[in-house]
Amino acid sequence: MEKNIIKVEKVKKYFSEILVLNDVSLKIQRSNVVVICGPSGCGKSTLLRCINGLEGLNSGDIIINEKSILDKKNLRAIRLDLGMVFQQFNLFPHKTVLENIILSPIINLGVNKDEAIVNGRKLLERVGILQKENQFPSSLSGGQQQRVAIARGLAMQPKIMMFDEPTSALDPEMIKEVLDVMIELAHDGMTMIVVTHEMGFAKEVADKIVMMDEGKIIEESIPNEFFGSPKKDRTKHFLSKILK
Amino acid sequence: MDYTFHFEVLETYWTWLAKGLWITVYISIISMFLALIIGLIISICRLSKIKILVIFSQSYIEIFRGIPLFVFIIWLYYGLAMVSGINFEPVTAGIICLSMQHGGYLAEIYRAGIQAISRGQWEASFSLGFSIISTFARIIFPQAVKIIIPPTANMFIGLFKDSALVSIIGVNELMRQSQIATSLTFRPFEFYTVTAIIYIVLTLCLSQLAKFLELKMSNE
Repeated sequence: MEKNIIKVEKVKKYFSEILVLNDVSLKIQRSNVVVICGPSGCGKSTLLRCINGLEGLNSGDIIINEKSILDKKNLRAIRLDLGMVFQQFNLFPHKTVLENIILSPIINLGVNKDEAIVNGRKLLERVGILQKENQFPSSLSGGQQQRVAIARGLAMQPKIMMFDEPTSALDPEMIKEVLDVMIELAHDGMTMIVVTHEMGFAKEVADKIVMMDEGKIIEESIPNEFFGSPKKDRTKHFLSKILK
Repeated sequence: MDYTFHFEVLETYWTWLAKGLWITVYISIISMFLALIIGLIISICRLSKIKILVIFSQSYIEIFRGIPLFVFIIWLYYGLAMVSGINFEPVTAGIICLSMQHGGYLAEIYRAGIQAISRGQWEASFSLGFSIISTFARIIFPQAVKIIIPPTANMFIGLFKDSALVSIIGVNELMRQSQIATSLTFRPFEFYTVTAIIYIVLTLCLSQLAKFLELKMSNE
């Protein structure tokens, strides 16, 4: 089995004339947690969106679990391997919490409804909001909604979970409850790609931290090195801004 | 103020109005149903990424929304027969015109409703492995319906009253029946007042139905 579950190879991505990903290459091993950080507009979210095919590539390739994203036939299989958690949660407002979680396994994996419900409840318990299963997302706090979104992703039994600034839209007191779920997930051995500015989270669970700037990966190192002795001035500057 | 209402003329002619009412309701309901379908198809074309469908739907909307219904009915009923020999029954011609024009209006209402659903809903659904059709049918459209209902009800009230225009090609719907009754009795105010009341009552029913649907949707 190939040890790198994700291989991003020389990816270029333009939004009209603007180059947002400039020759980005990145390898991610199974069960690793990779944190991507960098100033806004550096291309980190775009990289995640390219990995699950929400954005197309202008050149280069991305290989996920030995399947190339360039082959349109692979797209659905790749998306089933990848769970995605968004900054704005994006729960389905017309479905209850439990329905949000069981809909895709039933439709897209062919799981029978009873089984999906049992599994869905387990996941809700795991993220600590089983008591809200019959409520609609709008009646939940941001932190609760984001935990439901994580449970929704996990219900598809993905091989990789991706998080696009999962705590950026949350009130400060709710950030911890979401990070705790993510930390537990990391300890369980889930492969994770996390775009975040939560450096405490990065220190605790990241196997690798990737620093991006102006569409390029400028530094890639383990947390101790990244925080202890960053190689690039841009990284030092960035850290000094966000760590304060 | 020396006009005296003589509503007793209705005793003789109420069956006329009832017959006209039935035809009005019949034409309106079928046209509403067809307009819903036409509107959905046109709005999907309008939102698609296939250029020819976008051009087709834009042209459809501009032409059939812009043409005066009066002219459209005359053209379809008399003009088409002269040009191509295709003869429609007056009721059929009326239904075609009403549903095509209101389909154009509805297409724009649908489009606005569908576009009001955030991009994030599409993306979350795609990320979970749903296809584009499945995403539209299960995630986007059910949310858009809530936005679409009130303006659609408004359109339907318009359609209901527009249906009176098919009287110009001799369909004996409510308005024409009261016109005929008027010409026989010289009692325009009696008949038109009653006709107006009937329109208002039915319009009220429509708007109540829409309110009920809206409430039901928001409870779900």
